[in-house]
Amino acid sequence: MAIRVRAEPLRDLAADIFTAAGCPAEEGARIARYLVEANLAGHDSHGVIRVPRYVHWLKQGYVVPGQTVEVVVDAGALAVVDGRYGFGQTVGEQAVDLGLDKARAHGVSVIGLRNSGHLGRVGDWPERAAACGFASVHFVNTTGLGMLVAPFGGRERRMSTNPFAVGVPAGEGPPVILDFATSIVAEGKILVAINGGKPLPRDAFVDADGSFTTDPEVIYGKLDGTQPLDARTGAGAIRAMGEHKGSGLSIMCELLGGALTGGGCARPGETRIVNGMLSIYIDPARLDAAGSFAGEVARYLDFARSAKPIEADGTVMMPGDPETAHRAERARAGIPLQDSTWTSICETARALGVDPEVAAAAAQ
Amino acid sequence: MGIGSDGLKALTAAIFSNTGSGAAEAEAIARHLVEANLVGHDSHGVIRVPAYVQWVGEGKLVPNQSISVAFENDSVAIVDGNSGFGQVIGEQAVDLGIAKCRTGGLAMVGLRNAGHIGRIGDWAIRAADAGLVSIHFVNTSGGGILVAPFGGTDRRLSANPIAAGVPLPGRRPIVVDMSTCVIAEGKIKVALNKGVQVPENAIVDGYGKPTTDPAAFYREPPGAILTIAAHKGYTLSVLCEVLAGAITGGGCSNPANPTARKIVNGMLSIYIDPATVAGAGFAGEIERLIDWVKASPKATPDGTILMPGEIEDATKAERLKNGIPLDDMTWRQMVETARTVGLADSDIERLSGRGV
Repeated sequence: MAIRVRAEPLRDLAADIFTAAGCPAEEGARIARYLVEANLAGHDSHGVIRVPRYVHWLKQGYVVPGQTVEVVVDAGALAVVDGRYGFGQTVGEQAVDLGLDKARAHGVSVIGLRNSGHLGRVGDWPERAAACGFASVHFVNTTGLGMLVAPFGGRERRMSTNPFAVGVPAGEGPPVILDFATSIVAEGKILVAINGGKPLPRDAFVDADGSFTTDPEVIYGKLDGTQPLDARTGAGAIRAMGEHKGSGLSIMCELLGGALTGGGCARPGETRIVNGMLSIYIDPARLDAAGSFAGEVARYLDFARSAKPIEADGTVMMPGDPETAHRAERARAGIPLQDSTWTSICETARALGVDPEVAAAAAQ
Repeated sequence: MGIGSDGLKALTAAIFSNTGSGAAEAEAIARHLVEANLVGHDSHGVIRVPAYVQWVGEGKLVPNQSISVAFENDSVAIVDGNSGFGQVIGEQAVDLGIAKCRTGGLAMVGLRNAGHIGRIGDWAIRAADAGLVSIHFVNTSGGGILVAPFGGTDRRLSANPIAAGVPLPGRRPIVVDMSTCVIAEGKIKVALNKGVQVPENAIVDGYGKPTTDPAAFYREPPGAILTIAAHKGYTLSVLCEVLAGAITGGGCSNPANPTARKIVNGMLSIYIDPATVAGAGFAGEIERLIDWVKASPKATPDGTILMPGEIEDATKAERLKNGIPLDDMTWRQMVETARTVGLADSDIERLSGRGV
């Protein structure tokens, strides 16, 4: 079963929860805004479903409220910043804004962010850059928690789902935003499938014996309802997207997001989720003497969309189109939440002395 | 026994010398093409020679060009390749990026209107040999539109490769080099020449139906190549168009472009000096990751886990020893092309060390 909750009261509730848990009010509102934005875009795996876990991490000291990035290297167009285990929504935003300032000055910039708390939906960052007119490319890794993906040819977990994101502003229209896990599926999508949602792609996992399967038990162990889902218990791994190509891209996320930033590549034994992100920012306006950039992007998008669909009633979409469609629908009809998700958010709220009633009253 | 790489290089260089390229350019073209054969990427090797020669004849590819700078500051350059050979223009663009990066720690070079720039991994390796990390996005302005968008049947995208390289002291760099489509067009041509099928789920025929017949790709209505990993590769390919086409000013895939009747590449390259960014632990951390990734049990008992670029090294070692296994049709086309540009059979045999 699912209920629908409107974005605004859901955002307020999440903000109150984070503030009550110890975040400065501004930060509480910021985290809530990003999470609800993920729901609005249709990426429920990165939305308010994370609230109880984020609060848990805060209590454990895994993530630190009210942090500011520390600039470790500042070399003109290039900087490395340390997130000091602050909320990804806070230190990620600071890192992006530093990158935009530098790209404004130099035409291009690179920011290595290390030791960031969970960066949430990575597509947020190219969207932020594109909203200011900048193109950007982002390679993300974790230092080891969330390691679920086997290298091509292997059957044990060696990488995280290592997302890769690119964004380009497109004049008057919505920006073109690419944001994907370099694994066949992200972990959140497995949870959605287990709950009866969208089925998993064929051969998404590799089992301990090396065979390919769609059985989520190779990730979570026995799914008999006797214990909570724990991705550490399965004997298999998620496979990389696109065979050797995705595996190579994932390794590159480790090298660029982990080794180059100084945050470290995936390793076993980590207890908290720590992201590294290498981001490149480009100011197209600065390079566009002919003033052709926006028009060329718009022309090309129209050309690609004009391809005949495979299915007679199908459509050819652009990166970012599904998100735009979700936003329109969910802004109108509210955000659908599984009962279990909603219940655990309410429990988290009450435990912190926050009354979920206002949001609950808005639920449908 | 394959053909020796030195002989193949000498023959290739002689062909381009006779096509109007200066000695250094002819050598560079031959070196890049034969290197692609040596590392096992036959689709980007000497199989391209006949088309290059034909394009020169038609004025689509211009010998002896240099890049001209359209925009430049300390960190960025936008350069025009003036339809010159990609092997030479690419080197110039990459070397400009390397020089800028050495000064400032970061550089971006947007290259437009380059002739076919060949195997993109070459450029990541060139940067890595200079000690730099690099990332490259490539498109064509319209001459290589071969790939269907996810959910569509018509060609709208090029093979649009991306590449990235990371240098490591005392060992080969880690280099990822992949087209965003399931199969490079060159590989379909190789399959056609060899008379074999292409892999499943790689191409569709002109009606959007999956097929493994390479001929179906070249018939009317033309077939199309599929993107890797379904919608993910598709989005990556679209972003290659925009980054390498729109930001460089060379243009995204467009049948109406004046450059669409020839292969013109755009490439957006970013160079990062790890010495500026990373601490002393950089290389050690990568070594640790490599060892640990390779320590994963294999999916199949006789399988391997390779780092990106490793398979190329192994192939190169083998082909340096045993020669390059060139299929008969490719060799016949090379010989035919050599004759066309005025090389006698005796020259062809002397240069290549192989009978015509």
